[in-house]
Parts: sequence; structure tokens; C-alpha cells
Amino acid sequence: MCFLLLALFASSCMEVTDIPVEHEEPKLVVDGGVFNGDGPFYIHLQKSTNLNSSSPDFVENASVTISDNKGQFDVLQYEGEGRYRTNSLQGIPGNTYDLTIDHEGEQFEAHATMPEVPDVESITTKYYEKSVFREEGYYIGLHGLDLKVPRGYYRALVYKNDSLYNPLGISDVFITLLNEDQEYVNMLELPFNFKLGENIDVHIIRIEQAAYEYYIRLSLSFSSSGVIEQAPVNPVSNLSNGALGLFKAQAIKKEAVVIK
Amino acid sequence: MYKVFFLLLIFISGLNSTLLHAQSLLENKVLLERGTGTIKEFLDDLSKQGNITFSYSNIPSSDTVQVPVETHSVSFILDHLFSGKAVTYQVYNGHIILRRINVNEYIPFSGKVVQKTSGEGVPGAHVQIPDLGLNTVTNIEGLFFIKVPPGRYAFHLSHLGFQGKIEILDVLTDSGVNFILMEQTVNLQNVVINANKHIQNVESVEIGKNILDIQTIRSMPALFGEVDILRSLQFLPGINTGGDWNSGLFVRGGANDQNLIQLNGATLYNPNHFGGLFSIFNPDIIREVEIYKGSIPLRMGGRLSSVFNNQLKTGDKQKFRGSGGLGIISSRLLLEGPILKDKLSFVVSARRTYMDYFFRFSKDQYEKSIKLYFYDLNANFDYVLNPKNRLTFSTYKGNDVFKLGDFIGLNWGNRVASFNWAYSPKEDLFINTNISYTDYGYDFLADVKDEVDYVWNSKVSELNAKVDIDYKLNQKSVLNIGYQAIGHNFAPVYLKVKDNSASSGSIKLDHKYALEQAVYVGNEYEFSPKLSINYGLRYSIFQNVGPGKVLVYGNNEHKSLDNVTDTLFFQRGELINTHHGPEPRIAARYILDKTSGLKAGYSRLRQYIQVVSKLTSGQPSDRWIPADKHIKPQTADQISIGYFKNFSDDQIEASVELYCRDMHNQIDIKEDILVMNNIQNQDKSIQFNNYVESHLLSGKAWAYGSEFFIRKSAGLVNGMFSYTWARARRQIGGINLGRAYSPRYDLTHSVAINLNYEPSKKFTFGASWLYNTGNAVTFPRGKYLFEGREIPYYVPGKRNQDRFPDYHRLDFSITFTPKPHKIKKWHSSWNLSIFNAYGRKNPLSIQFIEVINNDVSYEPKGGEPIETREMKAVKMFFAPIPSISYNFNF
Repeated sequence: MCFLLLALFASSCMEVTDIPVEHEEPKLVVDGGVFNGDGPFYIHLQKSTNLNSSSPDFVENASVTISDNKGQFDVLQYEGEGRYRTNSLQGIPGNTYDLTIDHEGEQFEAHATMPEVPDVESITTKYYEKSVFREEGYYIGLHGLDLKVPRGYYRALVYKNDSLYNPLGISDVFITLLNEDQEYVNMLELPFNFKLGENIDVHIIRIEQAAYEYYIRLSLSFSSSGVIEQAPVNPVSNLSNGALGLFKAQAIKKEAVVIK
Repeated sequence: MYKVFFLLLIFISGLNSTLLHAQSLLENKVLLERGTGTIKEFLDDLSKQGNITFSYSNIPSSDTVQVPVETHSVSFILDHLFSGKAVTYQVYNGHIILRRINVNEYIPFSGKVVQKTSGEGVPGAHVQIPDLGLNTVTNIEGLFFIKVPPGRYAFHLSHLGFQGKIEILDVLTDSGVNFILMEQTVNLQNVVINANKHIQNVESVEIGKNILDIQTIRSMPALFGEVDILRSLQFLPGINTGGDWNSGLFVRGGANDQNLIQLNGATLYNPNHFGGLFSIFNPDIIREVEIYKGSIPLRMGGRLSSVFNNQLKTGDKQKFRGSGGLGIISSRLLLEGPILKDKLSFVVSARRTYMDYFFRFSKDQYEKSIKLYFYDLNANFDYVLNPKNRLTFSTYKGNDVFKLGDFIGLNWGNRVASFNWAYSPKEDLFINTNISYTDYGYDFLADVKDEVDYVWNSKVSELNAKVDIDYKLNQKSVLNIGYQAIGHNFAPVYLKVKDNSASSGSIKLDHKYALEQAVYVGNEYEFSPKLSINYGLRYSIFQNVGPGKVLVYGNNEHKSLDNVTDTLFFQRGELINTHHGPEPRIAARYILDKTSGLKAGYSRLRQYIQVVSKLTSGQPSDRWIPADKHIKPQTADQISIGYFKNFSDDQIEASVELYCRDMHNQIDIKEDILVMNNIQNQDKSIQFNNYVESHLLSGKAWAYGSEFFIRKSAGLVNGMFSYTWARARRQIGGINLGRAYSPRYDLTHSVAINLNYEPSKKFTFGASWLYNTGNAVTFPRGKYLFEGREIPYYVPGKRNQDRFPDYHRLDFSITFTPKPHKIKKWHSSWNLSIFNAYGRKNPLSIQFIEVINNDVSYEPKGGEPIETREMKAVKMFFAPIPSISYNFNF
């Protein structure tokens, strides 16, 4: 609403501005986790930087381990650019994974339980004319996501020719039940239009509730609705000791779709 | 025709000459040669030199008096002779009759203050007799009743929007007289306000009270030329609107929902249009706004911060008139006139905007189909049955409409009806009964083939009845008693998905019902002409009534949905929960000298309903919630003191006020709550949740500050200046690590200046300048990469420790009245204004977002190439906005 008006009267009234901002002690940031399958899996470590910094501050000399409640234990190898790789760890749905990081005398921990691999009854494609909400083209529908018990939280990533269509913050697809009374989502339609004959990969990822809330909160910082919003806060991380980011344990189902 | 007119002319002039004669006898100039002598000697001199016959008996004719040797009017000499002698005089049939009166006797005197144009009574006018130190206010019919020692007195009459007047009358002979006051509206933009009214700056007992009359509001330059009542209030100290796109009102550190905004006594729940760019009050039909931010009168309650009472104009009881205007985004029309002459009048007004016409030039077929407008309809009927009874009925309906073809429809608005009966069975008893209904609601409709098909609506309403009784016990004491009852109905979200639609999941939240009641007893007491005190107690009670469901939590300190041990069900009409408490209030005024006074006040207020929102301003989708078993009512204690001083014959009023306010049970939303209306996860949303308490935390808030105000109302140049230094803080366990923080509207320094210059009747120039410390906001203190995106890092415990750049803005307006002296019926004027004249880029928002491909307005869509992205601070602001409007009246 507001933005319609802005478009009307003040279309040119948006600009990049210089705001002097105080800077704080850098914080450890974790991005990565375990997915279903054989691995290897990666943990990316960096430190938060000043707002005007142009390059990330990778963490090189941390000791990173992942273990699970079924006796697996892995010390990750440093590969450069803040990236640490598992050696033999298996991603098994139902297992709880523990991440520990030792860095400059400080310890950080996180726990995450990998959900079951999502189940989709069928995938369809459907052609739509141009309308107020969408461009003309073929749209992919996911049917019968198993959401009720335990309550499922999902994310969908869409690739065309190995290039990701919806990186974080751009046309995110996150879904869960509307409320406690709802049985399941009978159809989820992905908001992308495709042409006849295209080959599309859809990754349906089942995530933990904490991760779902983390993503939703994060996606807020990309939206531009902050005209009168109260104070923003960081998404609630599952890491201890004030570290930022998220340690993930997620189950992915990959579906190849041919548009027809 | 000419003959009739001619006869009329003679009749009028004849009438005048009779009056003139009576008047001239007293105005005759007489040169006194005697400086000292007895009263009898003076009277004899007067008889000879002024050729006047006196009739008298039983007057102290042998008393010796002194009169300065000079030429004086007869009345001046008589006043001198009998000063303090309890002798009254009156002209009768060419004689002057002198009469002795009993000093100990107080005689009743009544009068009526009437409007010159309509002949109707002027309520709330100030009547003063400075000689006696007497001060009263007319009742709703314009009547006033006093008891005074017999004699001749100067009556000072004043009221906002009218030219003040002094009349000298004899209370023995002139009781029942009509005092006629002239409106100041000579032309639409005329801002000459007689200074007399500002005596009340010093003399009224209330502290922290302001009145803005519509002429003053109209004289301010306005955004898009739309005169805006709520926005104009920021020129008063202690009130800020929170930004350019925000009709929120933040009074002395209080939140937006802590203001009671009324239209002729009826409450308004969302007085905004266009998400806060405009307010719903059509300036044509508003007479004045009363603002209470210090000592709130006992008859008002239910909100912590302030009361804004918008008084509607009453229709002309003599003749049919109209006024209106055409602007670049709206048009207005008002009609008024008698239904029964002198008894019953009507006034109706309408305003509609047409911003959507701009969309017709769009190339996009969907944008072309956009409808975007709002309208306001007001009506007010005023019926003076007889001098003892007056009935008023007023109603309002307004809506914002947004439509995108047939696919999307969004509608929100208020409906108000208010009935008032003012009854004064005897001179010293005044009973006012008011019944009002108000509702605010919105509808959202989405119907897109194969996508969505639902209707979503929400409503909040109240039925409000109150009786206020003022009983004058004696000359020095007035008893105020009253009772109020409000039935609340909260109907939160009802989202109904239509059958056969692609989406599923209708949502219907439970309605909530409550009964709020209050009684009060108070006394306005004048200890001495210098010291007056208003004091009293209001006691309020709030009851949640079934049907309803209440959750029982295992641990009340940790209310969350995974901690529910039981659910209690209540039948229709069953009492669910009760909150109640006293609200003592006291205000005192002490007059230091003729032009200055001290005031102080304490008040306690309780508020039982509130808005729960992550946003800081009034929004269409605001959710009002009642206090209940889990949510305690808010309370506030405020102390204020002030010094009030008038200068230059009361032409300039000035004041300094200090206040401090303590507020309890202030709520805020838990930091981990995702979004207001996350339909995907209703348990974690505010809008779609039956048990909002599980998302709230409560704590305390406090505010203190000082306010300086100068107003010059008369003269070629007039205007207002205000400066406020203030602090507002909140502290809520679980938010900001439990540390105190500033709400967004905590502005340290605020300056507001409004000046008007009227060099001639043809031109009026207005300029206003606003300055304030930037809003308290939270900026990121760093950034990091996550999944390849740059994410802002906010430091916990540092909520709102940053500031927007200082806000300042200059607005101008010129009003051109082509023919100000035209006798014809149609008067018109042009208004040219410019908002933000020097183009200050005050931020509406500042966001730290990744700017993609170096284009701030780039909206990423799936699959498009992204070359660069970098986190930048992006600000939105208003450029200078010129506007023009044409106004008329007839």
C-alpha cells in the first residue's frame, strides 16, 4: 500500500545514504551442516565484519568436529576460504548431530536433528495465462506433502541447468502447516514460470522448526517493509556462546522435472 | 420590493437612534470644575452642565468624593462617585435613576453568549468579571449563571474562534441579556484571533491542556494542500507524529494507542487514511480540537496518554450556507442551514480523494485498473428544544478503498454515531448524557483465478454511554459526578476461503467481549480568587464476559503454547475476569499576578484495551486486544507543574511545563515472534493467534520532559513556537536482554514554529518549520555471509541506540483571496503550498539491504542475472511536494 503511493509521488525518492555506524567486536559465524547421504559435508566459518568491509574475514585455524548420537565422530579438514570438510560422516535422518568448534580458546556448540526425507505424492506442471500475480508460463506443483505428524517444515530450491533459481532472500519458498488443525498442504505451487521442454531440478528440503524460524526471520531483513517496524533483531541461532549463523541438519529429496 | 427595503431601512435606523439616545446620555462629555465635593454637589453640577435629570433616594449623597478635574463622560463620573458605594444607575426615559442596593445581597444574574451569524448559543465561552475575580464558562446552550453583588461590571467574554468582547452591564437590570460574539471567519484563511481568550492560559485550572481552533490549523501549510488536524498537533509541545508517513501521535512519551481520540464524544479506533499519510478529520466540519495531555478531566478515561476531542461545527440556524474546496488530490463540500429556524440545524460534509486518477496514465494493464481513494462523510444535527434541553446527533462514515481490478479489494474505515442530550433543569445543575457507537474494521478480498479466493475481515466496536453531572453547590464550588459504561466487542481475523479455491484453511479467531465501567466524583473548588483546585476520584472496572476460552499455563512466568495445562470454557454472558482500580486526579492553579500563574497536577489513569503490533504507528490491520486473565491493564501516574505568563495585554501567551510519567504493565512482543501476519505459521503470529498473551512480555515505561510554548494570536504577524526536551524509556524483561531502551518515538529535542503574516486581506503567507532529533532506531553494527548473502548483524541489548539523522523541514503557503471585500455571497481563495521547501531528505526509512546490480529499486526475481550485490544503507524520503487548492464559501 505505502509503496504504491511512494511509487506514485516519490518514485525517485530512494537512494543510498551514508550512515556512520558504530562497530562491535566481530562474532564467529557458522554456515553449513549435515544432509542425508554420504557427504562430504561442509562447515563455513568466518567472522562478522564492519559494514563497509569488502571481503569476508575467513576463520582458518579453528578445530571443528561433528559427532552424532549413534557413535559417529568426525574431525573436519580445513580446505581454505573458511571451509571445513567432513571425512567419513554419514547423514542419516533421525540422528542428532553435535557440532563443536574451538577457536582462539573459545568453544561453540550446536545440535541439530535431521528430519525424515520428505515425501511428495506427485509433481505436476500446469500452464497459466498472464495474470495479476504471475507471468504466463508453466508452473510446477508439489502435491501431498506429508506435514502433520510430526509437523513438517519445508524449503524448496529450484535449479535450472545447475543454476539456483531462488538463492536465500530471493523468491524463498518455505512452507509449513497453517495451524494445528490443518491436516496437510494439498498443493504447493512454486512461483516460477518455465517454458515447455525445460529440465528443472527441485530440491525439497525438510528442515527443523528452529531452522525454519531462522530463515523466516532472515528473509525479513531482505524485505523492504521496515518503514515503521520496531527494532530488528538477529535470527535466533542454534549456536552457543553468541555465535551467529546456523548449523543445519536437513533431509533433501531431489526431483527432476521435465516441463510438459 | 424597493419600498419594503426602504421601510426596513427606516425602521432599522429609527431603532438605532433610540438606542443611541440612551447610550449617548451616559456618554455625554461634561467638564467638571469641582475636584472634591459631596456626591450631591457633583450630581447638581452634572444636572446643570449635562442637562440631565437624576432621580434618587437613599443614596449616600453627603459622602465626600474626589474626581479628577477634566472632561469626562457621565458614566465615568458616576462610576467614580459611587465606586464602592453599592449604588447602581440606569438610564430610563431621559432620566438617570440612582438606586441603593444591599451590599450583602448576592443577586442571580444569567446571560447567554450567542453567535452573531447563527444566533445559536456558544458553549464553553469564558465569561469573566475581573472586578470580582469571577470566572465562569457557558454551558452547552451558551448560558451562564452567576450570583454577584449588585452593581455595574465589565463582562469580559472570550471564546476560541470568536472575537473577544467587553460589555459593561448592570446586573440588576440586564439579567437575561444576550452577549453576541462575532466569528472570526471573515474569509477562509483569516487568522485574527482576539487575545482575550488567552486569559485562560493563566486562569484555567487544567494543566497540559491546549486548544487548537480550526482557523489556526488551516493557516498551516499542508501536505498536498490537505489540511490535517492530527498532523497539525505536532506544533504543540510534547506531541510528535513519529515521521512523515505516520499519523501516529506520541504524547509525552506515550504510545500511539494510549491516546483517546474522539469525534463529538465518540471514540475513534483508527483515525488514519492511507496508512497514516492523512487523518480522517475533514477540516471543514471540525470546529476545534481540545487536547489534554496533563491533567485529564475525571469525565474522561480509558487511555494513558492524552485525550483529543474533535468538536464538530454546528449548522447555521438562520440561513443556508456552504463551503468547500478543490485540491490536487481531493475535493470537499459542506452544506449547513436551518431545518427549524432558530431551533434545529444541520451540517453535512463530504470529502473524497482521487489519487487513483494518476494510475490511469500507467502503461501496465493492472496498474491502470487500480482504484485508490478515501472518503469521509459527516453530519451533525443540533436541536435546541428550549433553553433547558439541547439534543445533538452526529454521525461519521469514512473508508479507504484500494482495488486492483476485480482481483484484490482492500477496504478499511470507521463508522461513528453519537447522540447527546444536554439538560439543565435549573440554573446551577447541568446534566449531559451521551450515547455513542463506533466501529472500525477492514475487509480484504482476494479473488484470482487458480490462485486465491478468500475474504478476510476484522472489526472492533464499542457502545458507549455516559452521564456527566455538574452541580454548582455555591459560588465557589462545583460538584462533578458521572458514570460511564462501554460494551466492547473485538472481532479479530476471520479469513474465509471460498469453496473450490486452490488454497485451503479458513481461519476464524474467537470474538472477545468486555464491559468497561467507571464512576467518578469530583469537586472544583475556589479557595480564594487566587487558588483554585479540581480534585476527585474516578473508579473503573473492566470485565471480560463470555463466551470465551482461557488457557491455563503451567508457569505464568512463561506463557507459551507448549506450556498449556488446561483450557477453561465460558458460556455466553458468564464473567471471565475482572480488573478494577482507582484513578485519583487533582489539579491546582495559583494566580501570582494579573498576567501569570502557577499550576500543578497529578493524575492516575488506567487503560484496559490496547493495540498489539510490531509497528509503531496506527495501521489498518492493527489488532486491538482487551486486558484479560493474562494481560493486565496498563496504568500511568503523571505529575506536572507549569508556569504560565501572558505578555503584551494578553496578546502573547507563554508557558513552561515540566512532567514526569510512570507507566506500568506495558507490553511488547517477544523478540522471536516472526511477523505480524505470518499466515504460514499462525502459532507464531500476532494477527492470527487466539492466545496473543503467549507472544507478549510486559514491563514498565517512563517519560519526563519540559515543554516551552509561546503563542501570539493577534496582529499582522502571528504564530506559535514550541520547544520540547523529553525522554521516553521502556524496560521489559526478556526484551533487549532486559535492559531499558528508547522507543522509536523518543525524540530528545523538538522545535516547531508556525508563522503567519497577513499584510493585506488579499494575501496571507504561512511558514512552518519543524526540527527534531532523529527517531531512535536500531542499525546493524556489522555484517556476515550466510548462504552467499550478506546479512546485517544487530548487537543484542542495544535496541534503538542509533538515531536517524535529525529531522527538519520547512513548509510554505500563500493564500490569495482575489476579492476579500466582496459583498456578494460567493467568497473564494486560492492556496498554494509547498511541503519540504528546501528538499531535506528526511528518512521515512533506512534499511541495510544488499543493493543488487547497483540499482536501489531492483526487485530480484527468480532466474535473473545478478552481477553485483553489496550491503548499503538505503533511505526513502519525500521530495518537495507543491500543491494548489481552491477554496470557497457561500
